[in-house]
Amino acid sequence: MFSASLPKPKHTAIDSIRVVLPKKLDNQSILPRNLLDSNDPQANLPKSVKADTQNAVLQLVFNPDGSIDYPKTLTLASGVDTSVQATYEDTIPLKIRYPRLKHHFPAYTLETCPDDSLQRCVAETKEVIMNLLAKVSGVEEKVGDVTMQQYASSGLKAGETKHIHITNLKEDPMLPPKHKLRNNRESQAAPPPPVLKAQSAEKITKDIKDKWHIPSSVSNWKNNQGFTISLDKRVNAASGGAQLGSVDFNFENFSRLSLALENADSKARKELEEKHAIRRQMLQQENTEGDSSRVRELLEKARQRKRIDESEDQPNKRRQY
Amino acid sequence: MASLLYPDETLLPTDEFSERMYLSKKLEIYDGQNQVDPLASFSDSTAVIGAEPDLLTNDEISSPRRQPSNWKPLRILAGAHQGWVRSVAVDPGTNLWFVLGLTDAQIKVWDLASGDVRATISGHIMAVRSLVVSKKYPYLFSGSEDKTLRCWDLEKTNSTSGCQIRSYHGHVGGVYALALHPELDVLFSSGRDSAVRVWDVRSRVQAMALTGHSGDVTALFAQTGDPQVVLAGMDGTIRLWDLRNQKCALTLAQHSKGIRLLVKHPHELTMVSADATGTINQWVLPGGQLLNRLVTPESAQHDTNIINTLAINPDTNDLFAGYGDGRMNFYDYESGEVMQQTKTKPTEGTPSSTIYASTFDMLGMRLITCENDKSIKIWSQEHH
Repeated sequence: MFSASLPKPKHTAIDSIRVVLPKKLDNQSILPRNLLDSNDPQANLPKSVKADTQNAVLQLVFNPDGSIDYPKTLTLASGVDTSVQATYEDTIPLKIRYPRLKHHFPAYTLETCPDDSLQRCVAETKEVIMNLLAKVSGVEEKVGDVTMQQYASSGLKAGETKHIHITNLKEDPMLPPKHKLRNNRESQAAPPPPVLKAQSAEKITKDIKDKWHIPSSVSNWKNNQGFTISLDKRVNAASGGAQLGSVDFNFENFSRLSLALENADSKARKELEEKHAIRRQMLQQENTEGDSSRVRELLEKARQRKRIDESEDQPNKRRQY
Repeated sequence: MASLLYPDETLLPTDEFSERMYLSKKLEIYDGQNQVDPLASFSDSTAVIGAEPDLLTNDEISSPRRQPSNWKPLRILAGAHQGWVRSVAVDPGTNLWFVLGLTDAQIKVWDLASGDVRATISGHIMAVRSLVVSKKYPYLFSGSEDKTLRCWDLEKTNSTSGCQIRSYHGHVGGVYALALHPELDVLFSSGRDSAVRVWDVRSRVQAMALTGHSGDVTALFAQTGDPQVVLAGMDGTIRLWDLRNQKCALTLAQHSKGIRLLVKHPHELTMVSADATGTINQWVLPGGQLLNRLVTPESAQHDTNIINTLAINPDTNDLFAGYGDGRMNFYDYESGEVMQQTKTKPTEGTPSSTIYASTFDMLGMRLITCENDKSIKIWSQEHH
């Protein structure tokens, strides 16, 4: 049983390279005919032969002497650009291959290295890493950004030249914003555009001003604060602001009426006085006639009461104190 | 500290030399006696291996056979944590403290000499899987299973507002490995999402994403010369990246299983990688040639050979491998021979021990191993 016919293991660390040999070419060989036929393989040697594109995954790489470079071919097929140790010799330790090998492999530091190879290595690595970091953090400086400008000024002496080196200054992205952050910027509408008109020739007099004057509103029913409200404002309020300018009053009729009323009044008063005077006279006359008889009556009554008292007083004398 | 256990007081070092070296104090006696010309070693050429006849025809074998090393537990900080310790880093500048990343989502800073907790940093919400301490700045970077990558200012660990100063956002899976570029302010991070991201430390911007792996990227390191980043992943490949051209320069596919560990030698242009089968490979760096394949002694009782951690001693050139079943192997880095084989003893209450992380201190005098019994073990070499 061949191991190739076994199912692929479920968990493998290394994916094996799928090798599919290309379909036979016209000359019944994998390799190009000129490579096989020629006695001198160097003559028209291809660098590498890409096999049939549909089925093959293997790209052959050749050594300078015309043999297939298996390690390179295999690493190329595995998709990793690296070199590998592929010869049998590599698997035998150096100490066994060379039994008298001297164990001397000193490592150098930057200070002890005789040449500048380590220095160069460190410097180049540093540069590579700095470039990568700059790319990551976005502080890369563009090459075309720098411009040189000739500086022309009257302050310069004859023959003296100055150049200005203009570079775009990279803004620090971590700086706080320069504008003030405001809420609801959209809600505040822009002011309306001004309406432009010709100036009117009309003169604004006091009448026009008064006409436009709107009196303060006063209620006849409500005055919660208890202000003193002048009468004219009350009147104005009562009339609904309609009577202010137009007082429609008939003075003539009013004076005639009031005069008539006054006359009638004084006439009535005179008549009443006369009536009173007559009545008073009549009463006086009556009083003077009736007085004497009344006094006589009263005297008679008093005498009678005295007589009754004298006759009854003996037994019922009032006690003396 | 009550929880601090000293298993054997007699194991503490007594010699003045190691103590002074450890505390980086000046030794007047040794001044001027043991001077080494720093430029002597650089007179040799450092060209690529293939074109080095002088190296290959060298008749004398330089290094004499070494004495077998003898690492012993010096101190156990037991019960110091609430969870497993998954990552460790020693301060490269002062060598006075080390940092641990725990599965209880905390980071603890320990004093190396006294064994006291200097600071506890909390902020992650899942296990802290990788730590790296900056040489230039007082910064600690931590990657966690909670998909975050954070930067801590160690000078502000006392502040009430916490000491986190940066967070690198972009990973879509847990972060398993971190590395800082030795010269540039660039941080590399990789993890579950099988992409390695290159961050600018200061601006937190992701500069590149190195893709190509088809599994978790479990280990990586960065160095000054090419290849500047080397990645190892669970798809069994090691990739050497050319950062200048942003392309994978070389892919090493000689491991048969997922690679969990990849460590660079502190002084040499070589690296070590270990995969899930327990194979340890040494590589020469600029070209990526296989230098050596370390042989682990076969043993019937060990059915698993999973290596969880590798550490290289900068001083004695020991390579330490900590296994998932608590075995500890010390190899000679040059020859690849096993120098010592031991096993950690789990503290009480833990049935079996697993080593998760380890590191040598900067002087190579102490080995710190972090295990699943929530303890830290500090090992030192017993001198003959």
